[in-house]
Amino acid sequence: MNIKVNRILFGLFIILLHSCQKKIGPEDVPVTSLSLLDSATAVSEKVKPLMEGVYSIRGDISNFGQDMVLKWNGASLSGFSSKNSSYIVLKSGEKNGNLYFEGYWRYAESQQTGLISLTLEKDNGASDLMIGKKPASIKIKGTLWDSKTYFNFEMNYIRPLSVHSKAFYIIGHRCGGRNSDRLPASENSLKMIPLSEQLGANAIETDVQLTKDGVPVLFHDDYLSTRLINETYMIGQIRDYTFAQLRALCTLKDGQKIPTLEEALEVVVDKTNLKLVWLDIKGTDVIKALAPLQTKYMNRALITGKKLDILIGLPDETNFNEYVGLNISQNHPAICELNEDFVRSAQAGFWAPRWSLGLLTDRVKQMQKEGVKTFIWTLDNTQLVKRYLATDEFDGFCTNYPSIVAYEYYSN
Amino acid sequence: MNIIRINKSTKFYMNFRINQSPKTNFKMKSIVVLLSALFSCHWMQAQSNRGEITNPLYTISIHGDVGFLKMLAQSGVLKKQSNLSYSFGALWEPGHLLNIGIESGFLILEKRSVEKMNTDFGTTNFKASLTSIPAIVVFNMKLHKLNLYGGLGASYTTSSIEAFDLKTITSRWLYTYYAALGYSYPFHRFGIGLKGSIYSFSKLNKTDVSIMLDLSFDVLNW
Repeated sequence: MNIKVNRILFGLFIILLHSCQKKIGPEDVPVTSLSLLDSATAVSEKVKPLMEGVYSIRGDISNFGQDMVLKWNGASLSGFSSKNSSYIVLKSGEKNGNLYFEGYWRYAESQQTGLISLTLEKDNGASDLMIGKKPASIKIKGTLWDSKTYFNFEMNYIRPLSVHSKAFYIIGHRCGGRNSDRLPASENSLKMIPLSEQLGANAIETDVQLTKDGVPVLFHDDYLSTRLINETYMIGQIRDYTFAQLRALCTLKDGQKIPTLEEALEVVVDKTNLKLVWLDIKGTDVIKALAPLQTKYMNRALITGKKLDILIGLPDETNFNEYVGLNISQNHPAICELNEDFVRSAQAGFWAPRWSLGLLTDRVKQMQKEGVKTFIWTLDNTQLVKRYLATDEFDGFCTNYPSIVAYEYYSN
Repeated sequence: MNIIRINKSTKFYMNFRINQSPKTNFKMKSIVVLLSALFSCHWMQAQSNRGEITNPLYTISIHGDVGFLKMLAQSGVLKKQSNLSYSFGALWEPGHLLNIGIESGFLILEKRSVEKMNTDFGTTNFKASLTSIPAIVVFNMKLHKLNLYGGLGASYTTSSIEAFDLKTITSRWLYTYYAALGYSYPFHRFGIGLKGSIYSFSKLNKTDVSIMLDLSFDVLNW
C-alpha cells in the first residue's frame, strides 16, 4: 500500500475512534420495591461512632475487595472498598432490636450497580451498640443483587477507622463528581451536595458564574451544551442569559434547575456536615457578587454550631487582581491556585497546586509553616491517591472519586 | 423589547475527551465512517484503474436544495417540528469514482414557540430557534443511479431565545458530520431529484434529518 492509502486508513481509524464514544451522564440508582425499613425507627446516635470501622468481607461475592470501610453520614451509612473502586450507600433503620440497611452498590469508575441490604442482628452486636457499648464482635449479614442473581455475604468488624494527626479534607469536585462519573445527580447541583457526603467527601468544590443580571449560579462549562443541560436551543454562555431565562427555560441533565450559589450554601449549612466549600470562580466580577453570601453563610453556620470555611477560589491572575483590589482578605478567606508568592500577596489561607506539579514536599512544608493549608487537585487515580496520602503532607485532596480517597484514608 | 445580539468568538470545540456523544451520534458517525470506507475503497480502485480511462471528463457542478428538516431526539423518536431549510454546494467531478465538494446552506434545526408559558417568574411568551450555516467538505460517489455523500466540517450555529420581554442571540461553531443519499434525473446539463440528508452536531448531541428537492447544474465540462 502506498503512503496515501495509509494516510486515508489512519484518518478513518481516528474517525472510528471518535465515533465509539459512549453516552455517559447522570444515571439513576436501583431502588427496591420491598423495603426492610418499613415501620423501622431511626438508628440511635449512640450506635454510629461505635459501628464505624474497617470490616472484612466473606462470602461468594467478588464485587468488593477483602475489606470495606463503613462510615455514617447522618441517617445514611456508606461503605468504601478497594476492588473496582466500589462503594455502597444505604438508608438505615432499627426494628425489633435489629439494625437494617438497604440501598445500592456501585463501581465508581463504571456503570455497574445493584441493590444491597445489610442486617445487624441483636445477637451479633446490635444490642450492645444500641446501649452505647462496644461489642466484642460485630457481624453483619448482607445480600447483594448483581443483575438477576443475588449473593449472601458476611462482614466482620476488624478495626476502627484510621486516626490521623491533622484534619484532612476530602473535597468532592463539582460538588461530588462529574456528569461523566455516572452519579445519580448532575454535577454542581443541589442533590449532589448531600450525596457528596455519602460518597465520602467532607468538603466540596463548586464552580460559580454570574448570569447576565448578576446572580451567582453553579455551572462549570464555558458554554451551555447538552453535556450539562437537556435543551438544545441554548448554546451561549451563562452570562448571556438572565437568571429567569436560565431557570425557566433549561434544566440540568437529571432534570434539576441550575442552582444559585445561595441555594447551594443553604443546603450545605442546613442539610450537611461539610466542613469546607471551595468556590471556583469562572469569569470576572464574580468575587464582588459572592463575597456577601460568603459572609452570610459562614455566620449562619457559626450560629448553628458548625465550623464551615467558604473559600473564594483564585484560579488565575485576573481573579487574583480582583480579589486583591477589593481588599477583603481579612474577612473573606481565599484559596489560591497560583504559586506561593501570589498566595502570600493575597493573604490567602489556602494554597491549591495542581497534582501534576508533583509532591512539592519542601514547598508544601514551607507554606504549612506559614499557616497555609495545602490542597492538591484533582486526584482521581487510586495509585496516585495512595502515593500522595503516604507522604502525609497535604491537608486535603480535591477529587472526582471521594469514595476512593475515603477508602484509602480511613483504612490505612 | 430589548434586543441583544452577542457575537461570540469562533471557538472551535475539538476536545474529544469531554464530548459526550449519545447513541444517535454514534449511529450517525458510524454511517459516516462506513461511507468514508466505501468511498476510499472505490477511490483506491479508481486509482489503480487510472490508465484505463482514456477520455477523462472533468466537471464542476453546483446544486441547490430546498426541503424539510427535522431534529431527532436522543431517544431516536422524531420530534414534531419540521422546518423549511435550504442547502447548496459545488462538486468537482474529476472523472474518477470519488468526487469532492463543499456544502453549505441555512438549516433551521429547532424552532418552538409557547404562548403564555407559566414559570416561577410569572407568565411569558416563549420563542426559541436554533439555526445553522454549515461549511462541510463533502465526498460524493455515484452508486448505480444513486448519489452517496459523506462529509465533515463545522457549522456556525445561532441560538435565539425570546422570553420575559428579552431576546438573546448567541452563536458558536460546532463540529458537523454529514451523510446523504440522493437520486438525480439528468436533463441536458441539469439534474433534478430528491436528497435525504442527516446532519450531526457536536455539543448538541442531536441528529437532524432532511428530505430536500435537489436541483443541479453542470457549470463546467472539459
